[in-house]
Amino acid sequence: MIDAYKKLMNLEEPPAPRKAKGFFTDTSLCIGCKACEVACKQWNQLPADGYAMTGNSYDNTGALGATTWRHVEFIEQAKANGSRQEQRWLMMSDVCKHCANAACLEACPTGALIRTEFDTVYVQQDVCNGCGFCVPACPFGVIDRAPKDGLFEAGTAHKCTLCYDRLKDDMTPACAKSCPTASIQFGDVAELQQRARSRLGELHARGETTARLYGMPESTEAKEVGHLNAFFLLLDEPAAYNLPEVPRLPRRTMPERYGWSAAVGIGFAVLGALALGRRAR
Amino acid sequence: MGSNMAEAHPVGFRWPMKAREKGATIIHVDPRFTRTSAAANLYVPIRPGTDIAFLGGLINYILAHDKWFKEYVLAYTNASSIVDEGYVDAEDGDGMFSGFDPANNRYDNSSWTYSGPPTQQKEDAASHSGHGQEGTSPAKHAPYRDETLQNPRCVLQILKRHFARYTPEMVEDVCGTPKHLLLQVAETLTRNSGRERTAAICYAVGWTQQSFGPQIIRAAGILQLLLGNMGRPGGGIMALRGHASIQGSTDVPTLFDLLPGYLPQPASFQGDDTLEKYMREAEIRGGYWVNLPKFMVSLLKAWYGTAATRENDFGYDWIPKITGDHSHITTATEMADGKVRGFIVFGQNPAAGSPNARLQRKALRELDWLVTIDLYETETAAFWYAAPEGVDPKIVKTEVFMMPTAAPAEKEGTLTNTQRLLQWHDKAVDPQGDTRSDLWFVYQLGRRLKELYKHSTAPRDQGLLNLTWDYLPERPDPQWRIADEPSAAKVLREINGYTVADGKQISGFPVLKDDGSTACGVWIYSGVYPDEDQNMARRRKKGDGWISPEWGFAWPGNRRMLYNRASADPQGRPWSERKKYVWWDPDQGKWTGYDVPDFPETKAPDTPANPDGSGTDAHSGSDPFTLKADGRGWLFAPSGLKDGPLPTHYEPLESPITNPLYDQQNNPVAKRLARRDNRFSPPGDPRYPYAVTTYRVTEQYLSGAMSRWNGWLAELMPEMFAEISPELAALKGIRNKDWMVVSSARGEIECKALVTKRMRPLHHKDQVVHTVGLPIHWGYKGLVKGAMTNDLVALSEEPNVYIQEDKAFTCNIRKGRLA
Amino acid sequence: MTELAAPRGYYQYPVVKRPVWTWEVPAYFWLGGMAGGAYVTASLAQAFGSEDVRRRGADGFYIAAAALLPCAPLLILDLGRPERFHHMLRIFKPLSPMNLGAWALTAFSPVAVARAAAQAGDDGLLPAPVRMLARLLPKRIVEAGGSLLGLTLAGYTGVLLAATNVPVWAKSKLLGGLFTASAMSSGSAAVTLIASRRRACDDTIHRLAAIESAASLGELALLSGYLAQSGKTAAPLVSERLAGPFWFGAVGMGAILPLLLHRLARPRHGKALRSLSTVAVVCSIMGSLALRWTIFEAGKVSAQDQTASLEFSR
Ligand SMILES: Nc1nc2c(c(=O)[nH]1)N[C@H]1C(S)=C(S)[C@@H](COP(=O)(O)OP(=O)(O)OC[C@H]3O[C@@H](n4cnc5c(=O)[nH]c(N)nc54)[C@H](O)[C@@H]3O)O[C@H]1N2
Ligand SMILES: Nc1nc2c(c(=O)[nH]1)N[C@H]1C(S)=C(S)[C@@H](COP(=O)(O)OP(=O)(O)OC[C@H]3O[C@@H](n4cnc5c(=O)[nH]c(N)nc54)[C@H](O)[C@@H]3O)O[C@H]1N2
Ligand code: SF4
Ligand code: SF4
Ligand code: SF4
Ligand code: SF4
Ligand code: SF4
Ligand SMILES: [Mo]
Repeated sequence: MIDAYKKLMNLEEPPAPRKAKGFFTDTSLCIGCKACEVACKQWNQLPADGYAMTGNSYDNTGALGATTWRHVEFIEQAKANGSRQEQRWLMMSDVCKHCANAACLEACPTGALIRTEFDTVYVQQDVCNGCGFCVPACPFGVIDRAPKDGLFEAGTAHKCTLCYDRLKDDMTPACAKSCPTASIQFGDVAELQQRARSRLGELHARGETTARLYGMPESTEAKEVGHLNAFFLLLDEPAAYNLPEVPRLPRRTMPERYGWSAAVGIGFAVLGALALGRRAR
Repeated sequence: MGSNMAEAHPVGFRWPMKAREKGATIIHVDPRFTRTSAAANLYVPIRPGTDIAFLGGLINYILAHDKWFKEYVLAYTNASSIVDEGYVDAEDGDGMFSGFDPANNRYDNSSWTYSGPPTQQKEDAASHSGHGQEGTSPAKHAPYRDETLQNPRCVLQILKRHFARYTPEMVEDVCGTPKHLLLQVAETLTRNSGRERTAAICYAVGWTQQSFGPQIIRAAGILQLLLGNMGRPGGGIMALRGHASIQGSTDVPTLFDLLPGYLPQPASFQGDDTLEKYMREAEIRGGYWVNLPKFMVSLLKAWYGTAATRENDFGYDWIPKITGDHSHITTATEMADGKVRGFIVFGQNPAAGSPNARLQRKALRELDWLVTIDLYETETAAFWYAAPEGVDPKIVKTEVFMMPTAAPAEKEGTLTNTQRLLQWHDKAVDPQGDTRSDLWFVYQLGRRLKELYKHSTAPRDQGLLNLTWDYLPERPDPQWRIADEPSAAKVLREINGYTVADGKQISGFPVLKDDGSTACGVWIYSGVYPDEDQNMARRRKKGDGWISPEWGFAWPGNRRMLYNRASADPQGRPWSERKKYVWWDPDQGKWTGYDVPDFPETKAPDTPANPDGSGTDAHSGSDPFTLKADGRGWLFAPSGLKDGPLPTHYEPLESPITNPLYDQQNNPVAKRLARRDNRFSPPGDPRYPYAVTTYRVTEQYLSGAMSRWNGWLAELMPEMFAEISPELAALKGIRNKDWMVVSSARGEIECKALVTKRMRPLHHKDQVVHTVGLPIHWGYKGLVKGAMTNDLVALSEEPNVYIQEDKAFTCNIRKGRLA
Repeated sequence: MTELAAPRGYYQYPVVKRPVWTWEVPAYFWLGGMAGGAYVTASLAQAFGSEDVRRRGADGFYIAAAALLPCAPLLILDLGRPERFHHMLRIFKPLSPMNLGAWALTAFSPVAVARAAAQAGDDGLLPAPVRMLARLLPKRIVEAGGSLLGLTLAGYTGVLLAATNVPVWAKSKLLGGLFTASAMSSGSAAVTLIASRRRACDDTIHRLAAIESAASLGELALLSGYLAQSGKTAAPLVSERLAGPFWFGAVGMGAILPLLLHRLARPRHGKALRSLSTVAVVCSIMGSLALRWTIFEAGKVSAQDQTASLEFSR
């Protein structure tokens, strides 16, 4: 549909689609070194976001944002009482999911947000006018608008580009490249999904019963937003990582919502006609 | 153990992770549950400073349950060697070994030696101090042995008695480590020992920065020898080195008591006044060290060139002789007492990074002049106006020179890593403006000093004047703006060595001579530049196997694993197909394998030892440890250590508890530099009831100079904090993120509290010990600033390597901020 | 590892991002809605009304045009890159309410202005030549088409807020309807206001009041529906900082009070009737501003609410 309109408005033709690229982030291999965060900021020349300790384990980043496109979460878990042998420290490197059905992209009124030839979701900085609609639209709280008075690309929306510039030169995204333990695995989505399934098998066989995949075509997360091109292997329920169980895609409910306002409008017109048209008493 | 590998060596940690994925068991023994613990299969808590007790517990388990690798131990270790009657073990001396001399607070270790046929020379065992020293008395070249291991004075029996009291219960009392965890570790290790399986131990400064660090590593050595894990693939004890080329700086070295290649620094107090006397060390050490004269003379030829002749002992007299302890620690105190006038600091930041940083800064104020050569304005460079104790620039007399230096990418050279691997890196860009490399600075300093003294006839200046000093390239590389950079390649060629006559590069140290016909800067590196234009360190060929022999150059002689003869059984066959590495090929009549054999190439496994042969001739074909006089792995160290032939549990110099094992509380020969500005608190001092340890986090680098100026790193760990358990926090009414004050006998600092279950109180019998964790990365310059942990740390010296005890001392904490 | 279970959610961090919009947005929603409502009312009057109703109703065209004038500036002011406003019209993408709205506004503004001009012509407010031109305008078509655009402009704003992942906006499906209703009530209210000032005959005022009341009733119904569907998610609106302005402003002043007043005014005539309905319609106009503002602000709070988001996505 969007494409049809693009033709109608004869916007430039997108490049021919290539194999879908994405990330399989295997949190069972993450050592929380944050090399991915730094590599991302370095490659994309993103500014530092200020210098305050959060007190939330070793996470002093807090959340993804306009100038933070990778974010490593640190989740400390231990038996409430007694000896803490039952103890674990989960680490997870979060990023834009490059959703198959991207809420941000669908919301975008200017067409700044596009789907690239690699099936990734990308903000065209020269098109975005900072309307800010994509920001609350994203079910994962990923994309954000840079402050109007900020130094960095003021007033426009930003998020992980999946290193579009590097992909064009057949280079691995900076974050994946820097990951020392292959927790971030970059590649063809189809192939990564296969790898993920067998990896999950391994872990279950090993007794890692809490391991689960997030963002696969077959999993509940995909119900509305479809599969995630950047998907994860988690060691706890999604909520523990602040991931929605069923990320919502506004489009799904749009007709119903428009329907109601139309109905009201028509209703009003009818009533209005009656009220005004009544014979005078 | 003693390392937080995932955080401090994240890139190297990919390999343990791969191993884990292949089914290996990772065990992490650490006072804190760290990112390494998170990745490990088993986390084992331990009280700071009690590793010897823990390892002793493992050794005792192995001996008591007879789980040691018989064939390996019998053939490859000194288990069967008989020790001198005079020897009294610490178990019988209540923590003291025989030979203690209270007057000088040192051991005379002649009673620790093997008993054997007497030989002519008698020589004080501790003849040379410092790293890699092997001095000992001659009897041990051919010790008496009892292959039945029944003799009560044979090493194995002594070992059994020495560790008998290190039971799981005792370990729990000392380390606070739950008994069942120790047993779990012991079972895992013994299950993975034998022909088919091995286990490796990684450590770093969690072990070394203690008043008995080397003894902890010795304990690991004993453990690995008993399990048959030395000289075998998948085995060994990995020292995870710190700074990018810290390995190189010990090899070459930057240490006051060593010459290049671990040759001892001549010491006046050892009577090294002539070259001849100095050379006695060769016979004392025995083993491959009998070649020491070749290495020494070649070094002198490299330094003094044509001026070095047989007549003048190749210029030996020009080498300064050490008169005592000139370690960083001791020098700092002398500086503080105004005994040192000038100080050149290359890439160090003592004002924040060194122990008792407050005293370090005071010492800087006592200098006439200070030169810092660094990438940034460090705390050291800024001490005179920015130090927290409040300094008045007007009254600081020190004249400070700050020189910008080229960063690694802006210069060529080699880095030597943990694996003794030299890797060459090319220069990528010119440094900015007038910035020059460290090499340039040193070269210019030498050149200008030579110029300054060129008319001097004073004997003390002749060394300087005779130094060979031509490192400028034939013609500067046209692609760079800066044309006056010395050539690192030239330096590396000199390090490799050449034949004096024709100046041709030599193939390696085996061809070195003691007649002055060869020159060699660092014998162990020899072979890295075997030809005018053949820089082995620059090789980048990835091998198909798991050794990649053509990637860079590993010393010695490109051996990737030392003592690898032990990877084959006494008959020279691989212990097992899985663990195949180096073996004897009877048809070719030589040793072959994946790696360069670390053994005389054609010496058959069944070659008998030649009792009156010298050096490795005194070894049999099944004595793998060729640097050792007796060719064996030392369970018991008859020499080489100043604080005992066997590791024994002492408490750290500062400890919340008294030593449960002996009346002797501390390492008796460790040096406290106790003084008004470097106080210590007594055992169980109620004023400082908590144990404290210090360490790194991935996000920052050491004193922080390199990371706190970088916003991308600084924002990840922005504020100085202390890690405490919820239990301790509750005790002190401190909430997460509250300000808190940490105090030690040296000083007080303030920081934020990070309350986490990853810290835990440990139970020792009736006593509960809380541990406070302090990262070390903050200071008063940079994008983010914070208190310096080193203001709390004491200056002290471990007796063998002079290292401070960063890892275990005592403190107190309270809610709030400094007044 | 149930016994190790962390508290649900990652520390206190929100799941979705807080909207970056500021006061301009609710202001625009309010004016745009009123413009739409007024235009529709006016058009209905032309189509079905008596002579007097038509004359008085026609003032709605003026109101629509006037209310529309600040809309575009407000909208542009809120952009991160105002100079790129026109990018809104780079593509036509009804899937994006924001895009649809931009088009609606762009199309509706000239229509409304033109129709107002024509009215001015009829009312003899324009010089002769221009009046001639204005007469040429095909009024009926412009009214019908304009009304559609007006309804769209009035209705899309609610859908826009709802087409996000902000729980308090998105949970219920009725926000679009609610905003339309309140737009109609405020719009018709505005017409009534002018009418009662401009000597309309009582009957006209009664009729206008009637449709305004109808709209208010609808608004109330949809509001209760909205709150019911939203359930706990509506907390920031009904029980927190915004509770006051919402209950008294949006509900009380905006709907209930006008209804009561109109009810009172029903049997009355002349002065009493006029003053009563004046108060009523002013309330209803202010109320619809309060409604949009409180709901808009509630969205910012709701977006910060981790639990709300996790619940919303189960
Ligand atoms: N990111 C980063 N990496 C670095 C550095 C850095 O500053 N930042 N520094 C580099 C340098 S110079 C070095 S030397 C290495 C050091 O590497 P490491 O030695 O691994 O680093 P540390 O954090 O000093 O100490 C390691 C662990 O020892 C634990 N520990 C403390 N006391 C004891 C004890 O008594 N027994 C045992 N078993 N463990 C104890 C600490 O809790 C800590 O987790 O790291 C190098 N790598
Ligand atoms: N309490 C406590 N104290 C400790 C430790 C601990 O665990 N606990 N760890 C100790 C250990 S292991 C170490 S290694 C020391 C490190 O202590 P320091 O070496 O004093 O600390 P660094 O911050 O590494 O200082 C290195 C300096 O070298 C500069 N530099 C980097 N590259 C170059 C170069 O190419 N040339 C020159 N000239 N300068 C360069 C950097 O900018 C930096 O200022 O800290 C020790 N201090
Ligand atoms: S995660 Fe959010 S920002 Fe990323 S593609 Fe999906 S909707 Fe867009
Ligand atoms: S802010 Fe930019 S990217 Fe986001 S929706 Fe608006 S125009 Fe599109
Ligand atoms: S893909 Fe590129 S932009 Fe995205 S997180 Fe990784 S490094 Fe950053
Ligand atoms: S780089 Fe890899 S291991 Fe390090 S934090 Fe990122 S994902 Fe985890
Ligand atoms: S900083 Fe350099 S040395 Fe340290 S882990 Fe990373 S790559 Fe290795
Ligand atoms: Mo170090």
